[in-house]
Amino acid sequence: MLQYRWLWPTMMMLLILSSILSVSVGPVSISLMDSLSAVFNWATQQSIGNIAPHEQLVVSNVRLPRTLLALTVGAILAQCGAVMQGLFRNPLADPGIIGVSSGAALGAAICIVLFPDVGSLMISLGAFLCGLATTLIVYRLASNGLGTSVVLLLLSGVAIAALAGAGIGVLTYLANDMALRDLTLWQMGSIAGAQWQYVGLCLLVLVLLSWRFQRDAMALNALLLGEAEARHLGINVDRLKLRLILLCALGVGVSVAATGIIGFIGLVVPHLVRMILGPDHKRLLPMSALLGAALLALADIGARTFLPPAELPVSLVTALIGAPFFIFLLLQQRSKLI
Amino acid sequence: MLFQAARYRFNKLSQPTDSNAFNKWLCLLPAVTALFSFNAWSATQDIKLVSAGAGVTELVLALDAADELVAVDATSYVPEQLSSVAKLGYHRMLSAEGIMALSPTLVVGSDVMGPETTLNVLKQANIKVVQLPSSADEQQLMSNIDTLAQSLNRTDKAAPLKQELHQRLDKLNKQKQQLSQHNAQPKILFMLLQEGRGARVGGKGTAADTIIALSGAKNIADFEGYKTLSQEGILALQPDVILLSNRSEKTDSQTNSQTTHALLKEMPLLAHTPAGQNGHIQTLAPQALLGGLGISAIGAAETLADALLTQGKTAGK
Repeated sequence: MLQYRWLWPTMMMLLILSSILSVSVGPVSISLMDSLSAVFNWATQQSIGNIAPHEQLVVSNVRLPRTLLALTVGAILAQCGAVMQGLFRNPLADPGIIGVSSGAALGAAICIVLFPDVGSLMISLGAFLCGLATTLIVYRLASNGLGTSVVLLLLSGVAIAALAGAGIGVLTYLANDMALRDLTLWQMGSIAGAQWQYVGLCLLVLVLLSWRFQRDAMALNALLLGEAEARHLGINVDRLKLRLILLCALGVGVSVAATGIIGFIGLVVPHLVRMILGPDHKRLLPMSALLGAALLALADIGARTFLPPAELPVSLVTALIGAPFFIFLLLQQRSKLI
Repeated sequence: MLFQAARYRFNKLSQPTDSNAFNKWLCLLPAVTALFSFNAWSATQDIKLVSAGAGVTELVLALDAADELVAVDATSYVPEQLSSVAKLGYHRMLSAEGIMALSPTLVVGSDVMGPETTLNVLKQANIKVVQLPSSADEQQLMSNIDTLAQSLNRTDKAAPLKQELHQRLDKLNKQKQQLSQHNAQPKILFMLLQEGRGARVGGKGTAADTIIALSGAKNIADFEGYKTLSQEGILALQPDVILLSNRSEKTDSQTNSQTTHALLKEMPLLAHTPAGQNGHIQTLAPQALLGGLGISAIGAAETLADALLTQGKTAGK
């Protein structure tokens, strides 16, 4: 098992490497040095090196926002996944399970089909608000005066997801051809439409989540022992749950609003880290963030280079990598699961 | 183009004279004209064109600009000899970098081409972006042709194309009047067939509706957009003619009677509609449904109108 102090620099290296790759690889061939100078130029508003204006534009207006968005969204999704799995004490939980993703998809579908003239920002806002609302409904369904039942939370998440799915179905049925295409493409998340305002928003949310999750890491560790045990340790379990669920809803909601639905990062990355590091959330959370960021950035490189000049939605790439890994996990844990 | 013209003139001139000195001077002539007109020449020859949107690509081809194409989107239909042209994916999800990698000089598309971020980046990279409003009527179609011809430096091709399309639309109008003289407007039902799923019927605001209206018939489906209808629902509508389109492109190779046979085998209830009884089942090329009022939509309407007229005559006998 790798030691934690070695893992830190390894992960940082991976992150830096994938970031560098992400700004230097794409359908427009720009050399590594030129890409890096273009980033430098962008950051310092200077112009060193001999970079063609269109190359500078590709790096600073296309690749840089994409890279940063992939990094932040990857980090958010992976951390939320780790928190959800800890909270539900279920290795197969992912952020979608509390209904955020399906709720957000419903919100986006409502905007796309019923208000076809609103811009992408309104679609994002609709997605975010609906995702948050669904989570609150799920939470309300699962809690009574005595507390929140995890099983009930999971089940109501499934039920609400089914309901949202039906709503999306109805909207799909009503949609005209164009809205139908938009809807389908929106549901396959993509980082291609990265805009700076999304990057800023996601970065803000990432900082908030990382800080808060880290403060709750010990409580999450205690929760792994069982809810009663955590209570005996003096943790206000119900407030912890509410807070973490709301934070996850915020994180996933913002991510979905910025990129559409990107699966498997939240599910797979915490597993990978747990396999290496063990279940301590104090380490699991930051490592998941780093690995999630790096993996999504790498997946996005794949999305834009597999079939140029067209582009794959990045969620297809993450699913193509994630699904086989998921099966591998299932096979590994088969003895435990049966 | 100018270069070719100059060369042509040179060849013509050089034929009757045999004097070497004269020839030498004449040799310089095209070079000089080419030099002077270099700017204009490069403007006409060095277009690298990306076309997104079925209707727009159709117009590009009609304006004889196929040689300039470097990429088209997934909805565009291009003839086989152009199959090496790069494919961009869906025209509402264009990749800025993917397009820039082809270093085009001009990107043309419909007004729904996007996303906005991609178009902005392209414009910043000094790539000209031209968006044509979707054409619902003849006026818009003609103005689209003008805009496109201007961007492509092919204004000379625009006039004959417009003339031809205007004549074809005129003829359709006349056939429409003829049809209304013969008998009441035939009632048409348009069905989009999908493998293993119920047929989707095209109502108002669909491309099929435009084609049916152009041909002078009446679309029997009076709802908005596409709806899945059961066989029973279709039977109740009692269409005089059924217009079919298949998602796959193999419909082109099937004859009408084969299609009719296949349809009635799959949906036997339809044999009890007037269309089924008289075998009035027509196919529609899938690409005619994609570009709004455009060349293939007009073509499809012509085929349909001809069929309706002959059917009207045989029914009248």
